[in-house]
Amino acid sequence: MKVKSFRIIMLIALLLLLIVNATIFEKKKEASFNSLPSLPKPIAKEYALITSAGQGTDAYIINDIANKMMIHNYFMPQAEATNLEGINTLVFVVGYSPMGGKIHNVNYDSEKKRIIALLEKCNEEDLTVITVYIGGKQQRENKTEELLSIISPETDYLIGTKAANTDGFLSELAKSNRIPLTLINGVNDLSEPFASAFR
Amino acid sequence: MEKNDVKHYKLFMLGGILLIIIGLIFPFISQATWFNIIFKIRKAIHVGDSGHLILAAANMSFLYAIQSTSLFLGAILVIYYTDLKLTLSKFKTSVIFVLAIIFLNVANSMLSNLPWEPVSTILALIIALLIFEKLYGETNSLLQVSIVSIQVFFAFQWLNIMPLFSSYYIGQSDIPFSIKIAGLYLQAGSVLNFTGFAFFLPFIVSAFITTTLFISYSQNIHMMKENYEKEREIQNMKAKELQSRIYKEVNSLVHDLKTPLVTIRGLNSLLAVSKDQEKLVEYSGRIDNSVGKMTEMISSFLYEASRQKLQAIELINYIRAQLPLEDDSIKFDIKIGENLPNIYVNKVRMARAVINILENAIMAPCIHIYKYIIFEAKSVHNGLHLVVQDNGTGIKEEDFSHIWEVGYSTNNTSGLGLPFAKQIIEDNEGTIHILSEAGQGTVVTIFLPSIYNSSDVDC
Repeated sequence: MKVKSFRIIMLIALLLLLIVNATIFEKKKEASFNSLPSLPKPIAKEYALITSAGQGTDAYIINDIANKMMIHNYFMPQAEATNLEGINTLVFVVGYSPMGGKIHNVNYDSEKKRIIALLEKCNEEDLTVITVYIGGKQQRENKTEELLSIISPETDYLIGTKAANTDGFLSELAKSNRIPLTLINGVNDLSEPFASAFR
Repeated sequence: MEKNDVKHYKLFMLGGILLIIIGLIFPFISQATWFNIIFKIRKAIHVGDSGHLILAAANMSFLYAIQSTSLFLGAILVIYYTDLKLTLSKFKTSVIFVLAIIFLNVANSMLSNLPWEPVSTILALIIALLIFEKLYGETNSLLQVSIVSIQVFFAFQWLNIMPLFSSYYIGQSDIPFSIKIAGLYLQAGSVLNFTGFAFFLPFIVSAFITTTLFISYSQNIHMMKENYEKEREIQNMKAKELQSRIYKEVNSLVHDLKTPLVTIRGLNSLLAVSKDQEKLVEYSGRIDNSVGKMTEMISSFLYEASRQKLQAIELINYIRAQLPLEDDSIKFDIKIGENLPNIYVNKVRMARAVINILENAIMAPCIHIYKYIIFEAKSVHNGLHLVVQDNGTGIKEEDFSHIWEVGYSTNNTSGLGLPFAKQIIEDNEGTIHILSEAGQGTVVTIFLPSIYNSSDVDC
């Protein structure tokens, strides 16, 4: 009887926890920083180099969008600083994936170093940096947040999802680094703001 | 037995640890397949085909299911099949089990860098544990638990790819989220939702049905075993009853032997004092007679097949001598017909058979003030009819077909009397018929062939 009660209580507790913490019920933090639907004028030039920050699969989506929008680009998920020759814009697609790192034999520390090197090169060459994050809040775990924090100071335009900004994290990043921010509902809303950076 | 138990416990512990190790190293063993899933997601994005996502989802669910099942079964063996379970209460065992599984999954995630899905895994764990408790109580078969648990874990993994449940912390780790985000990009969110349900529902239903079938099968086997044991017990009891019946018959014979023995004793004491030669001859003859009767009685009992030529009246008188006629509420009417034929039967056993029938008539329930029993002997074509008729409550229609069954009784007797009587009558080439109507009474008719119609006698 005790065991049955324990299991039932556990099940109910788990379900309640899920329902109470469901993101649909999350109180949205008032964004003290106004986000834009898209950029009013372009800030980036082609050729763009699209790279992954964290080796997530999201970079492939951005690459596909860029191709569909006829934005000339190179897609190099593990781009190095030396690959920035002839590039005008660097697009970071942030999202840490342990499995993605394993495939390319890349650990987190080496990934961080690569990104820092890229950012330094961008700074030297005065390249435009666009940062895209299309994950949700749950995906924005420590490593992804750290990557966003590293990239944001050098970012010229930040595109993120509303779901990832329920606690105002992206707004704070944009505000503290004085960068324009576009918050989208989902990945299918990415095309317009992304294209607005170029055209 | 205890040594065996200890040996089994050690084996289970080893097996459990082995399964846990397999579960922990499984992501390393299946690394290539995990990489393949990522490649499929990338391909799906590149070619715009959500079919690759479904394949990726299927691979992912399968791999997660195997890993979870391995850890689950390993923990089951270690906790439930060893003496750990004996030392702890059921409640503590369940708590420890759940915590152990969560710990193993976290450890696995840290070791392999493959994030786990806490919500769907714990939900699956609870369901699998519930099913396991049911199965464990009934069948104790690890194979059956494995079959059911892999279905449960596989079913719940499909919830991870459904965008519908994203808000509830389901499918938020690396690979499931990548599948979902790619699916949403390809406008295939509803396809993922549908596919998720299409796999979740049948597998979870199948798990429950499989469990029910296993339990039902085990219960059937138990019942069959129990029935077999009961049947054996009944057979043993019947054999004992038969023994007791034989003992009763021996008792009866021994009782019957007393009469000629008393006669012999009496005559012997007369012999001691008598000097008259004629009296001596007479007494000696009577002693010889008594010895003859005793020999006949013993032979009749020892040798079932031994039969004697005798007049029907002899048999009837022998039976009358043994009838219990003391009860005033029973009115006995003995009718003896004329020209009764000679018969060729085992006198002692035949008398016992008829007395059984008469005892049944005496013991039959009766609603009237007096019980009337008619015992009639009459000559018929080719033989002799012995009829026992009573005014008891009769035999009910539903009992009628069972009256010849050994052990069957409607009034708390051994149920051996009628079959016993029938056997003896048939051994003596006779027949027995019963006519009965509920509320009207019973008529038992025994037919014995006359000596000229008996096959064995040498006339």
